[in-house]
Order: sequence, then structure tokens, then C-alpha cells
Amino acid sequence: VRASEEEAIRDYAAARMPSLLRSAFLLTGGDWYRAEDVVSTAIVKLYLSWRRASRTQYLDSYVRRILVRTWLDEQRRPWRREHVVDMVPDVGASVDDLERRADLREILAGLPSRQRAVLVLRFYEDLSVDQTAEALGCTPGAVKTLTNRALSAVRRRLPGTLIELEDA
Amino acid sequence: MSSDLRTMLARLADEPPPVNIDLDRRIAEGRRRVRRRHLLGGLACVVVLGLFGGVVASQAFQTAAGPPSTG
Repeated sequence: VRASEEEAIRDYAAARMPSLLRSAFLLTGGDWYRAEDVVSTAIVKLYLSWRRASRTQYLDSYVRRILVRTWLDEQRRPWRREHVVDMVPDVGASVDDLERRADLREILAGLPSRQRAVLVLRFYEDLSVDQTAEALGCTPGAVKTLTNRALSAVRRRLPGTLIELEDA
Repeated sequence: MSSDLRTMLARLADEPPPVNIDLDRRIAEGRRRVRRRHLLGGLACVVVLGLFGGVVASQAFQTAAGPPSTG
């Protein structure tokens, strides 16, 4: 990698850092420090594949895919594996916004990693089913199934949450 | 009260990230890994060429020595 390419990587990563950290924060179920680890690893991976990445038409999509797959890879390591909880306490529909955010964080943390990834990609990143499938490396059908399961969990635990979906 | 899931996710991630990634360190790590990759590639080439050279040399030696005597 030439010095000019390193400069381009540095510029790109610096510009996208807040956005990458926020996505990673949601993916990790609300943990800034794990988000930092995931984004750091993703930047090293971006460095290693910069020549290919910089030739792609959609660099942001390419980097998003690196980020999501880095996080999913981390999840597969036994010492990093998260444990899905059976029950997250139900909350009523009359709680205020702050509490709902705390509950949503708890719900995200309790979801299996791929379901959480689907929620983040589709509802935070606003990706379509096909784009989400491409980022996760699975079929659109699998994305729809994961979306339905994740949304059922959200509806069950946060009644009254509006969920608009065009294509799932 | 109902809230939109998109808005809730956006608000959840809305706070300024309290962490800061040292880009220089990440780039230095990437550089190290590229070097290690090149080194391993070079070593693999040396091993393959060494094995290939060994086989060729052994065949040349056998040809030069002629057929084994049946005595």
C-alpha cells in the first residue's frame, strides 16, 4: 500500500468514523467499547483490501459489509460469544421515551446476533432486503425470516412500537 | 404511546461516541500485517522451489548414475 493510498484510507476512515462507531454500537447491543474493537478490526481489514475496496462503485457498502462480518466473526469466537436471554422483562406502553430507549437497548442486547444485525441494517441503515442479504452473506429469504423474528421480539417487549416495512 | 422503531434506533445511537480510535495505530497494524503476508508468501515460494529443486536434482543424480547393477 503506497503512502498516497494510506492517506486515502486515513481520510476515509476519519470521515466515516462516527457513523461506523454508531452502527457498531447498535450491533453490539449498546456497548461503545466493543464497538471500538469491531471498528478497529474493520479498519485493519479495510487497509488489507484497500485496492479492491477502492475500485468498487459503492465503497460505503463494501465497508459496511466488512464491519458486519467482522462483528459476526467476533461472535463466533467462544470467549466472545453472547448469551441470548430467555426473557426480557415486559414493559408497558406508557413508559416515557428515555425508558423506551433503555428498553430497546436491552432488547437489542438480548437478540441473537444475526437478528440484531438485520434490525440495525434495515431500520438504522435503511437497507433493503437484498442489500441486507448482501451485507450478511445470506439469502433474501433468510433476511425476511430474521426480520420477522426480530420484530416479533420488539413488538412483544415494546408494545406500541410503530414498524413500517415496505418489502418484508 | 407509540414510537417509530427507526427513530428509536437513531436516538439510541445519537449520543457522541465516547471512544476514539487511533487511526495511526490501525494503519501501522495493517502495514505490519501486509509485511507479514509478503514474508509468508516469500517463505512459501522458497519452500516450494526448494522441494521442486530437490526432486529435479535427485532425478538428475539417478540418471547420471545409470541403472542400478543387478550384479
